[in-house]
Amino acid sequence: MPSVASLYRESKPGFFLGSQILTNRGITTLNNSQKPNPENASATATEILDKEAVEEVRTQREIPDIRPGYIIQLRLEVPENKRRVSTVKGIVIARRNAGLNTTIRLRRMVAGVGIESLLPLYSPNIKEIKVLDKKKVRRAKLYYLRDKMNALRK
Amino acid sequence: MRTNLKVVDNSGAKRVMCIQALKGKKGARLGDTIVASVKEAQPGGKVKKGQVVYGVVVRAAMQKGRSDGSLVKFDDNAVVLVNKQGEPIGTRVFGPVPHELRKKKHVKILSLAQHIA
Repeated sequence: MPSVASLYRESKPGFFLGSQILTNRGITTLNNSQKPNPENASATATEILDKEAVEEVRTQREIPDIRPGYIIQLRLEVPENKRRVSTVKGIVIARRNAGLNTTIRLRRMVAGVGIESLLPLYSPNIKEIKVLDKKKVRRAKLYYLRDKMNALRK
Repeated sequence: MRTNLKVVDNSGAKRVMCIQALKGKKGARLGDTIVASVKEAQPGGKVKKGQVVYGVVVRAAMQKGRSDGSLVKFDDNAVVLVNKQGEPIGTRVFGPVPHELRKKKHVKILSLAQHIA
């Protein structure tokens, strides 16, 4: 009984079993072991460096998932305050994804006045982030809260 | 006509109008000193209506950048009245004040403040 290999060998002259195939055009490998990774197929050098920097920060500090509508509590070290750690509690109203420069906008009421701050998420000044509560919102940017601070109090 | 600011100390004035920013061509920002005219005052206070006073901007609705890349902005524009040497006229300051005052050497206002944001 002729083997499959011999049949193959007869139909395609110059076919070698193994890693090398002799085609009409030249020699190529049988399995594409160097197939380009679909994640990094179009990655530029800056994108790869950015991802590595983000991973490095994530291994050092635990940064939870933060989305608009979360009420979070941060422990910040403010350089203007001579390195004293202060706690900041507020609601996230926006998140802008930009790799290492991902920023969140935090809105809080302090002594009767509303304060909005834009903080880089991977900043080394943020010592600890804790998610206190998650509010249901139907928007990515909650700028309407600037007019009505009691909208999400339920 | 310039910016109307809220006065957040107990010097007697309620609202002032900025007539000159002492430093900067583009106007005064958070922590800067301004010359203002008192537009509305309480009856028995240290300042009267129509008086020209100096003030330190302690809250501004325009965001101010900090050295770590963060921005901060308040919901209103507020000022604390000072004398020519930079000492506050009033004895109490209401509401939060920013850390930027420390660099501008307004230590007295920082010590009187309820909360430093």
